[in-house]
Amino acid sequence: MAREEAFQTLLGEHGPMLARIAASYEADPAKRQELQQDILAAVWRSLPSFRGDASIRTFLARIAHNRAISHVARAAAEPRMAELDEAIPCGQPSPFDEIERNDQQRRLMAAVRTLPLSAREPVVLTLEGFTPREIAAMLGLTANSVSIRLTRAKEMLRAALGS
Amino acid sequence: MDIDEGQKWSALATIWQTPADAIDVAHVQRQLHRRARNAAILFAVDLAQGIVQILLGLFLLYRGDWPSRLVGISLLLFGGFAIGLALWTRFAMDRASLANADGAFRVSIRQAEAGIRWAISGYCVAATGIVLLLVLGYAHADPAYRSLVPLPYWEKAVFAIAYLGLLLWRCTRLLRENRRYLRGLHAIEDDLFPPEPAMGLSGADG
Repeated sequence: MAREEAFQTLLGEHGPMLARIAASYEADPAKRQELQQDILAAVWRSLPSFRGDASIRTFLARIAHNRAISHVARAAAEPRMAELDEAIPCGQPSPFDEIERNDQQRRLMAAVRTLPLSAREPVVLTLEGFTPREIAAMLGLTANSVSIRLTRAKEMLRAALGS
Repeated sequence: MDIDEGQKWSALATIWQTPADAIDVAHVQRQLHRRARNAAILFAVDLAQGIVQILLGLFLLYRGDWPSRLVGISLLLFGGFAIGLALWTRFAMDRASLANADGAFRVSIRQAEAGIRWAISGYCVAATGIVLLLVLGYAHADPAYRSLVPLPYWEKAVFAIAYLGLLLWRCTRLLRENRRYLRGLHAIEDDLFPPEPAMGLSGADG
């Protein structure tokens, strides 16, 4: 029961982060949902292993990232149809600000997905608020390598966003 | 990162982290429970398959003729390998989730390679077993072939051949899937771990 409650709490607090990480690696909504489930299943199984040596956010982001890479590898060798447009579910009409913010987020997400994996990894984690040191530990890199990748990624993002 | 750089990333992070719809936790948990149950069933099937192979191997060992013993020994080894691989795969995946990116990637590659080895050895054992049982059947035309189980040869052999046929089909599928997975891993390896430029740059280009 404690594990169930912990999982519910984590999902409430960090679920959006996990969803964003999944979305940054998979555009197809159906496959994205599979990836999200894969990530959540891995989180569920890994919860008892959490020892508190890193923050819970770092722990969860690491799991999400590793599952996403595995997902990309499985998809890499399969024939793909043309990339679908994102379909963010939208019920009621949103206020103008909400639509604009969501549209900006969609554009940013699409731009991030165009980045090569080596650049996408540190960018996604930076956008989630992780420090270069935390990112370096998660990716098994030096802080300097992370900085170099972020610098290159910034240029690519700028080109992709057209600004 | 310098301060200006940090501000640029902060602005993007604000857009990135735009609040989304609340997650239906109960729905997610139901999905996970169903998924965990299916995974447990598949794991039990894998273990059961290994146990059946071991039992079949012991049965063939007991038959007494050398071709059956050969197949029996192969099935014992293969069944043991299958059980070991099922256990390792289940626990290796969890370790891979917790490792850093490089470690997780290496575990995935080892998993795919082990899956390929398992599928190839299973394919060989199944194909050899089917051929051997067919050959034995024609070589020993006596219907009351010596055995613990008082059934004519073909009435016993047909079950073994059917089981080995199923194993052959499963190994062919797994071989294809794991080869595809390994190809995918190698395809993204250079993308994931590109050669780093020479050290000495601060990385902040202002």
